[in-house]
Amino acid sequence: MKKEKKKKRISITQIITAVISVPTIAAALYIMYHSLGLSDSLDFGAGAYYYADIPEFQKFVNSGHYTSGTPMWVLIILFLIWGFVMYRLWVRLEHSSSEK
Amino acid sequence: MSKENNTAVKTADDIVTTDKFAWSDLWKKEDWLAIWIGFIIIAAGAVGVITGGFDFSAAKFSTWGNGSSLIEQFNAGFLGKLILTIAVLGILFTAGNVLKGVSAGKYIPAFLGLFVLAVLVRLISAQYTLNRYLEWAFWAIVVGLLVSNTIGVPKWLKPAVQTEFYIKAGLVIMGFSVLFSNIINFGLYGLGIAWIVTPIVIIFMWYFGTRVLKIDNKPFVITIATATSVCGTSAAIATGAASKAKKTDLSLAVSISIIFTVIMMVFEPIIIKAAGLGELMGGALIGGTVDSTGAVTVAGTALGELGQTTAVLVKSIQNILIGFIAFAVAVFFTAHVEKKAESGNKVTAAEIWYRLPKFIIGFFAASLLASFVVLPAAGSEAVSAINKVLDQYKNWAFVLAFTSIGLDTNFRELKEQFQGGKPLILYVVGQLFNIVITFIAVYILLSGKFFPLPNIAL
Repeated sequence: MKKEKKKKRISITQIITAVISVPTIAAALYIMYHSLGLSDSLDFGAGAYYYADIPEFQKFVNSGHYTSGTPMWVLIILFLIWGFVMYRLWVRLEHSSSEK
Repeated sequence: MSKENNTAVKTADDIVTTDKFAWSDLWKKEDWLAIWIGFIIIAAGAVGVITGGFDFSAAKFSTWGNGSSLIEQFNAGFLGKLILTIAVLGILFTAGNVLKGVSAGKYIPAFLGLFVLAVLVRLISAQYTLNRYLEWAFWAIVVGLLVSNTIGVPKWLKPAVQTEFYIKAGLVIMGFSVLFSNIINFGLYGLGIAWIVTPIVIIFMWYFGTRVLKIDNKPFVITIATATSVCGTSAAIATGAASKAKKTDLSLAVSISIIFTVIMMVFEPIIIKAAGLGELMGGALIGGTVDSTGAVTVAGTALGELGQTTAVLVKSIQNILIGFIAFAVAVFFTAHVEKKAESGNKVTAAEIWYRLPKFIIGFFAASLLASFVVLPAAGSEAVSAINKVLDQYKNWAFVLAFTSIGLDTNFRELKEQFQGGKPLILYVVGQLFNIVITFIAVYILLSGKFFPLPNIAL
């Protein structure tokens, strides 16, 4: 009885994955090793979270850098309308995919 | 079993399981218990700050390395806060487990063991270089995986491996830092860049992931989509929980997002400068596309003061989307994904309520409380001070959760979850689409060709 050798086929997805992931990981390691992209004026980096890790985080969001001429209630209504429209679109897309 | 049914079957890996409502759910079900735990911590933090009567701050490791000693920070003040952190989280989660029916005798030693691992994680992630590039969530998964795939998880530690419980409680605490009032921070400009683009990217990634790449695991697709389009790890945690994603879904989505954040934080400002985009437009582009808030601030600073301010303004608006998107995801999965997979019948409003992950309500309630009650009453400085206290508890809860994920995962599962690289392709294509659409929005709103330029005070 002949043993059939199963050939492992490499898919296009796997090739693309290798092309993306190898340089990405290498670049990330290179960046970290050489401390690239950091700012001397900031005592934190990408790993920092909001108030707990970013010193004086409130100065970035609470200090009134921009005075909006649009009232908050208008912004909230626009926010809700756009959210509702997009939700309906998502639902329609999901149902059209299942009908097909 | 159909492929779609896979997303609806309740397994031990489900982040949330819900049932028909009964009053006893309020003190027996994990979702509700997480809400109470979150609100007890919020209340204690708020009272401590507003009255000035006591310091409720949890322990935080200072950055070590690069000239700073690791040992120096172990002083009496730090150790006091560490004991407070163990006591607060230990008592609350033990009480929660007892109400759920878990033996306190088994849970307490397990919690202490898990907390020791969490301390190790935070110690590693406080190292100077690691701290500046990779979030603690990454190191929590790595430490957990190393333990589970080498020496194995000892039986006595297993009662504390409760990813879902820690995530839900952490999310309720996080709700307090999601200030809806930030919507006004950058007016229509901010709304246009942060809110018009985000749902478009999510829907595009949903379509691309489920229809083009044909990824059957829909919670995984939405977790990656929101991590890409909203704000990285926090968004992944919130929508992962809302869509009942598996632990491996969350760990992969977070890992991909964290690695690419490092790349984008460094290269995006370089490309923006080379393209001559300017600080205003460049900062807005960074705020709308780079995943984590810390990375946004650093990348924006590379452009200049205006770039930094614009980047953080846009990001601060994007951050408030987490709650709404998590809520929409929870309703969508309840009404259109799980139900369809089970029977195909139309789901009623009552049923949506029964099956909705209830911790989302706690998240929303905390956000509304902070935005529309505490902020007007106590002022923005008080809310910031409260959030500084609460954020540390949220971080500890998430570290416990991600360490639990690592402890509960083996490398083979992760490899299977990677599906030959489809999640990576989904992230990269989605992120490129995000950059293009955000650039279009930024160009229309901030180039000065269509609308007047905003006057930003520095």
